[in-house]
Amino acid sequence: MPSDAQRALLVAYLENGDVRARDRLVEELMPLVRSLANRYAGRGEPTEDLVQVGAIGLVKAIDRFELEKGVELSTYAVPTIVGEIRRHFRDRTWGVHVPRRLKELSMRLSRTRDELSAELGRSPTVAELAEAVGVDEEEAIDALEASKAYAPRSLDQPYDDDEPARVPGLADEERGYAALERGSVVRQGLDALEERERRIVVLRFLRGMSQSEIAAEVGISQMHVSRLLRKSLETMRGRLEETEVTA
Amino acid sequence: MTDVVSISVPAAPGWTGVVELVLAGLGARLDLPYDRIDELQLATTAVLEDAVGPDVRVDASARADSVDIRVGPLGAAAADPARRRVLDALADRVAVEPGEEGDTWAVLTFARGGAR
Amino acid sequence: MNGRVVLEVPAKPEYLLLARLAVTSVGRSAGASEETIADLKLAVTEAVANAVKHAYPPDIPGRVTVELTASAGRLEIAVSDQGRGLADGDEPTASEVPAESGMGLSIIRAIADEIDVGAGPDGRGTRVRFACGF
Repeated sequence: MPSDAQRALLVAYLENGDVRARDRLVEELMPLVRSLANRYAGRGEPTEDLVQVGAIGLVKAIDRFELEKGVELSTYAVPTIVGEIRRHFRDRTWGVHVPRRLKELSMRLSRTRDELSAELGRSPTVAELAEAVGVDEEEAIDALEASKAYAPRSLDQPYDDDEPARVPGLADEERGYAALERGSVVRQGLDALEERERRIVVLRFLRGMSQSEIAAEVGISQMHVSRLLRKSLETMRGRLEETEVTA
Repeated sequence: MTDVVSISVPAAPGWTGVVELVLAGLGARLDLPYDRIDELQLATTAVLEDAVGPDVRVDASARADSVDIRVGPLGAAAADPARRRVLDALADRVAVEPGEEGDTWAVLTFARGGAR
Repeated sequence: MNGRVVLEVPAKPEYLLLARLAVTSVGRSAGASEETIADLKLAVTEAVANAVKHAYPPDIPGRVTVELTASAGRLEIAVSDQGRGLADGDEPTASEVPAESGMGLSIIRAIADEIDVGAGPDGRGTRVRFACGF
């Protein structure tokens, strides 16, 4: 039950239209609004905006409050305040269709990943990537994962499509590859790959280069290296299984 | 103290995505360089293919120098040399060990190094 | 895709991220809208944060379990711990700012289609179960 003082204010506003009473009620419950807004802080929206939006929810709740129902105003107001805050996020974050936003973010991340690798001398962490691009870690992870599905060629923007010129060191790779026994299982697996995939796999597993090093050497993005590696391993696994069956 | 994260999913294709996403979250918490996270995911999903079901569990333990990923229960195929070759290439150490109920579990170890 | 995922993490705030990621993944596979997924992430955040803050004494390492069950048009989530259980007064009270865990439950109540709160699976700790249809 609302306290006597609160009751008085509610009656003054709801029954007599006394707006100052409503303002007093809002003032009294602002700590609740702040407490709720703070829970959604750090998700890409300024906390003060969330407090403003939450206050709107509080006013709506007061407008709709029914004294006879016997509920506490603060309890009653929570869903409406939260609802306004959620709606605010929805409107701001999903103005653009989500898949497209994710794709754009994943492209930015891909570029940033290669830039940071060059600076750091290693692949960046999620925290470093997220900070560089200006999103939170969760969103960064989501976008990084989204880019792992084998996107058809048309979705690879120009950045990814740059075919590198013949890169020095190819002779080493060929030698490495040739050094594998002809009949060996691994060689058979590699045989199943296209030339570029084979090169990536050889660089990664025979020369022990990291993905970021391979990207730098071959001249494609790390995201592309990752995709090629995934696809290659699947292909190789398939070929190795076939080999076992026929052996 | 070692923190352990466990995730259990149905042993069917289509559920590896949630394991990958959770591993990415763990990798972020451990400040692993992203290409390391990628390979941790790759190796784990490769092992998941050998699950016998109905569910499969992935236990990830983070130590100071390494991350251990334990996956099971698996079928006998997990111990197969051809299978192992791909895993050996991705993880720093691969062990296949019997579980409590006569089943098979794989333990992949990834050195942490890199950012921290 | 129908099925059940069980995630178990240490009861520490840094692992909340993993629970949210699990919801995103399972939600998307189940075909939930991004809006429903966002609502469920919010609810799981409240439930896990409660467990992290209240379930265990500061020096006892505890764990939080998040179970996600997807079925046609419905995603159910249960967050449980093995800790001290809900005390009296954790439900919203007559104060201007309800007790933290009470507020968390109010928020989940505002978001989810169903919610139930009770003791954990073996009578110990707390289990908060909620579901959204889509």
